[in-house]
Amino acid sequence: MAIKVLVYDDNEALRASIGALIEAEDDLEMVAAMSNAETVETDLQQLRPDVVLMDIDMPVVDGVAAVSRIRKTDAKLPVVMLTIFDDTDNIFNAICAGASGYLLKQHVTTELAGAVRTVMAGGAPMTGSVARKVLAMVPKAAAKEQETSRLSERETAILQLLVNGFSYKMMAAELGVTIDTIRFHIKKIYDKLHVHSAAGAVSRAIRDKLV
Amino acid sequence: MRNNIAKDLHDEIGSTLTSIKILSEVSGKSIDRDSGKARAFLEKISEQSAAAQQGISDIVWAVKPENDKLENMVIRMREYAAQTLESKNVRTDIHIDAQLLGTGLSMQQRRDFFLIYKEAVNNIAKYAGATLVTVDIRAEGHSLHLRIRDNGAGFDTARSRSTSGLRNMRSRAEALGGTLEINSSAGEGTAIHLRIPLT
Repeated sequence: MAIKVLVYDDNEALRASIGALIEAEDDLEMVAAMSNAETVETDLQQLRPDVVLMDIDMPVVDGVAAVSRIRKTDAKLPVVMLTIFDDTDNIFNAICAGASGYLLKQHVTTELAGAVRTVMAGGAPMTGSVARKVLAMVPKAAAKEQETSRLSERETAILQLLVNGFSYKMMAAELGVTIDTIRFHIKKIYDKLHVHSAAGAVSRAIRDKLV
Repeated sequence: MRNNIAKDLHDEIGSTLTSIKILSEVSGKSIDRDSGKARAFLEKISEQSAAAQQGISDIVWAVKPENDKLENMVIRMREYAAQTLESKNVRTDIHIDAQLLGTGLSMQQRRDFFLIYKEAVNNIAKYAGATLVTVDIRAEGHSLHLRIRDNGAGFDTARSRSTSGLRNMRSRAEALGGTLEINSSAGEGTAIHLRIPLT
């Protein structure tokens, strides 16, 4: 059964290219390519995708708002944000709103299929500049009980390595663990961002322009 | 300084785009008669587009004032090594003297320094067949030293002295007011040593 992908992007050329990329993969199928997310709830109901690719920057309803709306109706549907360059603020906001991962548009050719499969398998990608923001925004756990919403020592170490440009492979070598372990920790970091954000602290800080 | 970035945009990105345009037109012409040739051209378009994207990203990175410290340079060097060498199963270890992390470089210095490194890494990816690359940045006396060593196949420095890639590296070393030494021999790997004065 092919993975059903629903794409949101306001750029027609990109919708067409991403469509072509998806169709070229045997295990992926594009159910639709929408130019805006205004009717995202009905879209999900009618099209029943397995994963959503969401452009982060769209008019009327932007990607971050769309993710919030998706999460209100479906806590688990994987949503991967599409972004140009490293739009750190929006990426961070999207993750806090519930995004499962993100992908730079310029890397879409080499990374799209992998990113879709990663989030379908429960994994989560992360890059240095977003890691820096996470370190600044999410407090470290001072005791084990705090570790449900605050960062553990291991997670802090991994975020710091990400900030310093280490790839997953380099981190695994540096920390003496497998790449799967690294991925596991990063997924936990995402979960904590969702929890932390749900508590409202992060969105408040952003609103109050503390970052 | 801005003039040099403009020159880079024109020389590097502009000429790549021209090439992509020509290849696209030629692919269009040959696609019916010779699809094998068209496929080869399309692959070239793909490679050159990726190179242009990387080139623009590198220019944007160098221009940003917040990237002025060697600390930021090392981050970008790691990212580039991971992106270029990991898929070829080459491990890259990058080490910098802690005291140098805060050393500042001008926009043009960042550009030249990173491009020397980038050229070295690209050559390793293309030709070396190495499994380990060590990059070392340290201060010795009044100079900054960048050493890039790989354990790959090596090459005959006498014969390859004037490839455009190596010439570029040397002219960028000159622009930095420094010297570039390349030591290599068949089967012994390659060592590149850049020395630039620290103000």
